[in-house]
Amino acid sequence: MTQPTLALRGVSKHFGMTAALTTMTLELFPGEVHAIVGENGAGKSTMIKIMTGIHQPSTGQLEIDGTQTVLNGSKAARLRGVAAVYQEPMVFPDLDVTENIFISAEGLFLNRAAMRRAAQALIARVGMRLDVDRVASGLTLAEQQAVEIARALSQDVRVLIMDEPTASLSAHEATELRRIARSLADQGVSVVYISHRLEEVFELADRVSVIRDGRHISTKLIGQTDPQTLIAEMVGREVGNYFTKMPSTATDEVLLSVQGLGVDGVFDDISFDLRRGEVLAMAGLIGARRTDVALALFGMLKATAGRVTYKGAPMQIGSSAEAIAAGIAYVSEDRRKLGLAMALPIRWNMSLATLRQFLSPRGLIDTRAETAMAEDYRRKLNIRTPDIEVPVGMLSGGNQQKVMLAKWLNMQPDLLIVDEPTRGIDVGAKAEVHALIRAFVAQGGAALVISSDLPEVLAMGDRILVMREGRQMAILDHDAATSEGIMALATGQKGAA
Amino acid sequence: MIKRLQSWEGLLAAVLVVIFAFNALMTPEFLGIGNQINLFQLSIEKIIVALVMTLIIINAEIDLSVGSMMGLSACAFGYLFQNGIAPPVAIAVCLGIGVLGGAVNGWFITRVGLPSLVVTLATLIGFRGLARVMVEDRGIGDFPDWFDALGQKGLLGPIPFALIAFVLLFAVIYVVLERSGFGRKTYVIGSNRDVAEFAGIDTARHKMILFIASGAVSAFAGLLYAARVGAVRGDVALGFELDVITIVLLGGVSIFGGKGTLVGTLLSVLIVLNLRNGMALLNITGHIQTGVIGLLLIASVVVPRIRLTRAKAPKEASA
Repeated sequence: MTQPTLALRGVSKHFGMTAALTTMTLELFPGEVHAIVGENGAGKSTMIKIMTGIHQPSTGQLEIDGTQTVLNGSKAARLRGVAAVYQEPMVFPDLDVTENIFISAEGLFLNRAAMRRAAQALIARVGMRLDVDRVASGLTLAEQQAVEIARALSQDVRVLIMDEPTASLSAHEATELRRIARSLADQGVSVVYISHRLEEVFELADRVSVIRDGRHISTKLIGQTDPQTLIAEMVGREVGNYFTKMPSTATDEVLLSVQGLGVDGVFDDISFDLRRGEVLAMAGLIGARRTDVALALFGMLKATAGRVTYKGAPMQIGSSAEAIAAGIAYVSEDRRKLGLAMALPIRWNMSLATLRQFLSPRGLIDTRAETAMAEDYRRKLNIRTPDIEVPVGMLSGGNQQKVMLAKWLNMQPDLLIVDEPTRGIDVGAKAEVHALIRAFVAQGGAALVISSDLPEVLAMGDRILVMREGRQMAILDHDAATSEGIMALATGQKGAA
Repeated sequence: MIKRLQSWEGLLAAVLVVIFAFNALMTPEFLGIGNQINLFQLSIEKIIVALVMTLIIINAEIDLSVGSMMGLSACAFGYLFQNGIAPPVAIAVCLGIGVLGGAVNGWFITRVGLPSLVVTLATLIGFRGLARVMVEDRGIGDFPDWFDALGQKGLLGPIPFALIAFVLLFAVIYVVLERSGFGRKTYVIGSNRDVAEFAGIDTARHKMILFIASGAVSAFAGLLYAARVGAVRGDVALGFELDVITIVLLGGVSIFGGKGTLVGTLLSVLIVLNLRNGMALLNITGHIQTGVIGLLLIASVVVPRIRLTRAKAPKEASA
């Protein structure tokens, strides 16, 4: 076999205490389309960042043409012929195609005419018909990606990494993009193709590698594997290894009934019932639009279709304040941006959604009651902090997550929507958070838990709603659900029921 | 962070004590009650506006239009007075202009979604323009004696009305910021507006209230200026916004929002006033005084940064 263009040899990457990659090994050969598949959080992004010089391996090495190489930053990577194209193209909207392609051209005086001709040649090589004088903001996503690919080609790309390039493209554009990827490989480029869509992996790739939990699981020729095997490898671990499903506490009382809920251009036709005492898990991949469903129920996104019945009456919720007043809590997946004011004290964050509880008639805060509440949750949720007056940003991710839960539990909601309840926190804290949510529903609440972590979906969900690209694929009973089944629905291998 | 803020205020207090002691030693007149009151009187309009500006900046916004609003209010008073409107009515109209002007700022910022920097820069120009249209190049004066007395004479013994107003406003805003739900929301919105939105807080309404308060207090301060000087011109309070913002930032309020206290602003007011006063008593010219204040402002930004890096360094080493 020829020498690999680029290879990872036993590469590990640690961020603080978390291992994002562990002894990863991968070889990319000239002329192949190499697909990489894995669950969200499997370590794909970290791997790309190491290959493009954004991160440095903690241990292990990266080889280019068989020689150990250190890539210091993405510019160094580009000079060695490694470039990446992402789902959201990074073009400069106000510049035209030529300028975008030669964005990193240096020199005080640029030869515009020569650049234009070169841009035309590159666009032709990509196989697109495109006027090089058009301004990038007017281009379709697929055209913008073509511009990005042409930019990479202008720098003699030898390894082109395409990270979910078709995730936001229409079917027709996606076909076009796959054709480009194939033709580049035919010209000798190593194409790394990362995708959640297994059907396109099988259509396009020569070889496919599975990674899981930051480890390399398998690399096979595409003819030697099949979707079922890939899904099994992606899901992998013995389900229930560290999450055991707690018995359902569902009652017969329907708290929330959603019929045909939709938001134009985002998701449509979502229907489910949620009973008191029940946990409904929402599974799916990134881009399945599960968070948008939650935002529509929480009043932060305006629904354009469907009916929602809540506590037996039609529900019209137009703002988060109304949702909170109705007893609906939403624990965001994004602690930093939407969940917590990191610079402010734990106590302030905990009382944020329920400040009214602590206000005197004159609008002054009863600090004593507020402190008592915060100390109470600190004890009950086992939040490890020296003091409730320290900024919440000083805590570990798991403890931040608990502060966020405390903030919402304190309003004693009827419906608790939790988005990615355990993202980025350690296993021990995960189990604690799961127990908290289960205890909440056991006392008569209902929970909607959005999670991209399959073991978590299976451990939490009394029933499991699977979404894919804004559509509801199925609602599975816990006992009938398997990781493989959920993954097949989430990746579109199996149609909607 | 709370501790760090407290220690920042501690530092300000220490600086203040040093300036105070130095002034007292250098010039015996400094400690006289007359000098102390006079020191406040000369900048009273700015320091009143600085109290509301503290809230605005903690809220991660800025109001550049305060100086022009002071000018507009003062000129509107002069214009109305000259046209035979009874002064109490004119005062009410001027305060109304302040509320309206603040609401205009608030509307563009919260409903149209423009940055406050841009909106209030525009109204800085607009309000000033209106003031100049009303008064043109004349000076308007000869206000009733009771009006001038409010600005110039002691109301409670030697203490003038404006100083009493400052103390009362300080007390109210202190309680609001430190103890009330509104104050808490001011910090939270300034720290992270999205988090506040998701917690059901009406951030647009909150900001609207703040900008209306800023406009009203600025208009009030403009009237105080008219009373103290006894005449108005189109350039009343020109450029005051920068002095006001300087005082607030020097007091440890973060320009990025979410951080700062009213006590910090008060200490900063006292430092600036005493420093200027001390330098004046030593016959140091106004230009040099301004330069020294500028250096102080830079120091106020640099010093916490140095302390922050020092505090961070050992943690990063252990990670």
